[in-house]
Amino acid sequence: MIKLGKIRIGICLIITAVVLSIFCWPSVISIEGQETISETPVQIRPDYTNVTIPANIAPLNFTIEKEANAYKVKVHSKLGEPIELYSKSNKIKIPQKKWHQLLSKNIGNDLYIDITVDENASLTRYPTITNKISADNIDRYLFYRRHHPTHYLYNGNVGVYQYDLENNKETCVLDGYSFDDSGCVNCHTFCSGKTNPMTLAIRSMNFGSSMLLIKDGIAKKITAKITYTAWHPSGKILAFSANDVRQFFHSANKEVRDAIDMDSMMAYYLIDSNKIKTTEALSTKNVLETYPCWSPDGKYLYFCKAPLTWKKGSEIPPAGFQNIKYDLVRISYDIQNDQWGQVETIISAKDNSSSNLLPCISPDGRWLLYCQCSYGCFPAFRQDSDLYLVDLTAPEVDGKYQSRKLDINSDQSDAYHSFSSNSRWIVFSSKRGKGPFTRPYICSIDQQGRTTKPFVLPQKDPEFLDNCLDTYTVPELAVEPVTIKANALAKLIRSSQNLNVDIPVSMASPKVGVDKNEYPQVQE
Amino acid sequence: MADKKNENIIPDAIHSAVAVVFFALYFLYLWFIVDPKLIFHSGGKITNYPVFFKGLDFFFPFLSRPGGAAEYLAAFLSQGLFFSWLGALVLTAVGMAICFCLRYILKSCGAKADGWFWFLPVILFAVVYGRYSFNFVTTVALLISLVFLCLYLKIKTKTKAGQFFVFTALSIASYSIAGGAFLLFVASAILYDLFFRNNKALFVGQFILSILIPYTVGFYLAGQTMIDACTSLLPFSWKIIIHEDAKSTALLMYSIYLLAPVAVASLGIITQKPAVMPAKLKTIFTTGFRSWSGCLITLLIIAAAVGISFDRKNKRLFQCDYYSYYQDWDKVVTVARNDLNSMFLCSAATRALYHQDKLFDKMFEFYQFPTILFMQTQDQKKLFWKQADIYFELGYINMAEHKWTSCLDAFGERPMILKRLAWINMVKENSDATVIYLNSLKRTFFFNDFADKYLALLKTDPDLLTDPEIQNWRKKMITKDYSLDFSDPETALINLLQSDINNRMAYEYQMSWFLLTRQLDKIALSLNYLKFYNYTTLPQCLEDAALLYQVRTDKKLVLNEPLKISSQAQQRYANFSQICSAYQANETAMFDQLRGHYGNDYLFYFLFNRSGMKQ
Repeated sequence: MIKLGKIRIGICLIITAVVLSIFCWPSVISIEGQETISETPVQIRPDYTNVTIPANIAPLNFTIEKEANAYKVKVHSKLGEPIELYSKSNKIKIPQKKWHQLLSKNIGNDLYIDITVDENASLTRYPTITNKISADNIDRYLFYRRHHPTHYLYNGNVGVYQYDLENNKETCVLDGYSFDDSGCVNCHTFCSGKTNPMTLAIRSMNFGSSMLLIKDGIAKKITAKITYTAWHPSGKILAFSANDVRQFFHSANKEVRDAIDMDSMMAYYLIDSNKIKTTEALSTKNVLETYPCWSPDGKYLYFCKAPLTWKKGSEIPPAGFQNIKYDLVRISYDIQNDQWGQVETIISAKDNSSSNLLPCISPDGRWLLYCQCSYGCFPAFRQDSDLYLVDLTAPEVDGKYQSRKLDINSDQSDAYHSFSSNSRWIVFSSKRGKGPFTRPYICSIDQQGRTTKPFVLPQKDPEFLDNCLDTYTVPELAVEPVTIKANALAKLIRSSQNLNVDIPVSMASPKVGVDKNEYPQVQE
Repeated sequence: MADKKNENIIPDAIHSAVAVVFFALYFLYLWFIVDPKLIFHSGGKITNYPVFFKGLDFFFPFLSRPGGAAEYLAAFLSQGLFFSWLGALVLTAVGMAICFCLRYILKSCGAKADGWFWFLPVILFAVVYGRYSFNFVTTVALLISLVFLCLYLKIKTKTKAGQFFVFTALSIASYSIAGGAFLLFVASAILYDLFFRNNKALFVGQFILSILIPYTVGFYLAGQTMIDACTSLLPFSWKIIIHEDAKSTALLMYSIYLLAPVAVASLGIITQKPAVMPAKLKTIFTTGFRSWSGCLITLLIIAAAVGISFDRKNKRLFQCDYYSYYQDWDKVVTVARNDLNSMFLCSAATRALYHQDKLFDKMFEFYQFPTILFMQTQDQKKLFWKQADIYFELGYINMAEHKWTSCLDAFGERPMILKRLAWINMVKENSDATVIYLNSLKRTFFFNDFADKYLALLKTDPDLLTDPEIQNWRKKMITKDYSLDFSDPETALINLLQSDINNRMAYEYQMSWFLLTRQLDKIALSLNYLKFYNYTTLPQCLEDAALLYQVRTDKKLVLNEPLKISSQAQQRYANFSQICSAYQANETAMFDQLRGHYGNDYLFYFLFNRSGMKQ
């Protein structure tokens, strides 16, 4: 006699099997028949048309901007097996393995995407989308900050994330919620595209401002108020700026936020001797110094400077803040003798009537990429911020460097840029098409400094960025991931294990150290 | 003797009927008194209200952490509070489920009859919700843990190894689903095994397991810190008590959490060592107070607890915020009248009076002070939610965007915030940003119609030129760009009027500002603009101000026809002056006398620099 319990189990199993069959059985879609050829191209979102892509990039999934009953997409190139996809949904997700196989076989070739749609039993085939597969790979990991377009942080979650460009997988390096309700993780800096050593800056109401120095898998907390940092290629020196940056708001500007450095200075941290030092040229009174960036050979430190025209304690923003325009300069450095040379102007604000900010030099040492905007120190908040390129190996006869506006710019803010370790890819943040929501864009740059049409960071779900209420900033490429776990970093932040640094008395302005009163500050 | 005792015990049928009535009353209390839609709206106060979006991409990340399932379930269920009746139903169902779990645990621990103790959770929840605090995630985690505990008590194995296996399996499952709240399951199960199954041998293993599971699953696999791995979703988790409103009812939540282990331990002690408790108390414990007197006492406790703890003031704040958001101005004014000393309520009432075209007639019926208009206090950020719409309606769209975007950080991606930000971006012609907000809103349960409507419109009319409401707001939007600072409201209002002279709200707020700051000369200068805003008579406040100006400056005010100072106003002023002269020597008496007659008039405000708020 069969027990009642067994009958019940049997019925349950049958029902489960039926339900699973209904919902999980792959539906066979067929798009066959006479095709009409359309002359107008079909729009795809994100815009992955006429772009140059690295061979190691993850699938560029997209949405077809056309309502139809079914879709057929063929991704193919000169060699290898084409990828054919049939879908009832306009969301096209390309299988990762086949994609990588196709791309690796066609390095340097064109990549074609054929789209056919079935609209009421009539098939329309649209013009082929052509992209180029570059011979140069991109660094596998992209690091960025991700958070809401913050105006005044309280309870917001700001984190630094690493994105595997080969499989569209995001993992959290450290987020603010892991150590405090008002924790903020800001600038992440790598040494020559490697995550060892690296720094992460944090701000918190309860644990103050500090910098995490991660080297050889060990993290140390340095309780110093450090804003923008740059690693010397030797990994022995960290140049940084300390900024008294304040946020204010516009009544009628498209971008509500703006920021100003009420005061700033630069210094450098000698890792081995655990000392912070500065020099007159980096911390001149009545001069705002910021955005340090080392040349790949470590012989020059590039940075931006502008005159400080207001007195301490002035209102925010101070009168004449629109007239603050930064020069892009450099200073030579001799690491053997720890000696600084003279400041040399590369791009003068007087010459271009703009503020020249965020210098970034390609690892091959040839290109200087920077932002140019109408005024101020914060290009991410300036709608007119554009990226400019300088060929460092070809100064004019008169000694002046010639800058060129890149055609990758948009009518919105383009800023926060970095190069790949092979100098062939640029990644930057842009507000194009998404208002306050900044997105990372990638484009290639050749040996002549010619760039290609930028494309947005690909995602597993092609519609992800259409709904994403976060903004992505400070994108930095690296060849390796961060291996230290977020919980270990969070534990360190909450602990009292501080690495006390020998700070020179001359660094009085702005104060270097923990200042809880200054929190919250600018987020972007 | 035994029969006599049983006579006192309420029969099962009556007890069940009373229980039904009790839960029905709880449901009605939540529905009509607490009004859960106010909690859903959050009143600019509840910062831990769960965010929920439809779709698997929202669901999957919850699976990556222990307790994620409970969080997801709580987020899903809490959307029901959008409707008060549904919210009451959800909260009652969860409360009831917790009660029934507790009842089962009590019965399993040898309580002979299910008395009134098992109602205790809903009594405490009634207090929590009555204080407009929302700890729903931790509540759902509690329920899940209790369900697992009931399951554990139900499953009886023949061997100790079998029992340990069941314990292990249920511990892992409860930890995966309810996170740190599984400690409740573990603690209660260990106590039960010690007292009722006499499984002392298992204790060490169970204890080690209760540490090993969070370590392995939470710390090692999910990458949480050990503190988070052990405490997530527990009411004392730092992630829960960082929310101020949750902190205010934390003690109650701790009590609810402790009910099960305390009950198991108490009943265990009574069973094992009957001598430790007096016989009478033991009877009460084991019968669960299930007598008529127990019933009466329980009901009295409930009434007292709910009555004393219910936060009427907080409810008014939530109501006012809710009705302001949905622009139900009559209700805003009605609610505000119940608390004339609240800055927020009076500010909301002032705004409501503007919308009712009664600003200059009734504004001094509420507490007034210059900072009331824009709710300017030291701790501005706490008022961002409440201030944002005032700035928007005035035309400071950027200021509203700044406030609502800050709220996005403080309160999460709540639909009310997303809707406002979508709207702001539509007015600012940021269609791409609008689409992002609308796409998010589309994935919510109750705001998707708005999203669908405007997403469709944006396809055919990307600049929204055919939407008259949007066009009106665009006209109102300030055009002068300057560094926004509302520490000087006067300049801010002048800038608005310079941008658009038709901005009636800016004009009325400017006049209100002049009234509140007692700038009679500026009122006199601006009075004739009333005609431009279709005023045919001088409102009472402004009549009073005009009279004061004439008397104090000895200048005749020239008003454009048909505006004039009425004879009634002159009479009123004469009477007011008479009282002032009569009580010149005694200011307190003068204040009392004038307050009785003129407490709601500008004359009173002007003299005492505060409104009298005549009741």
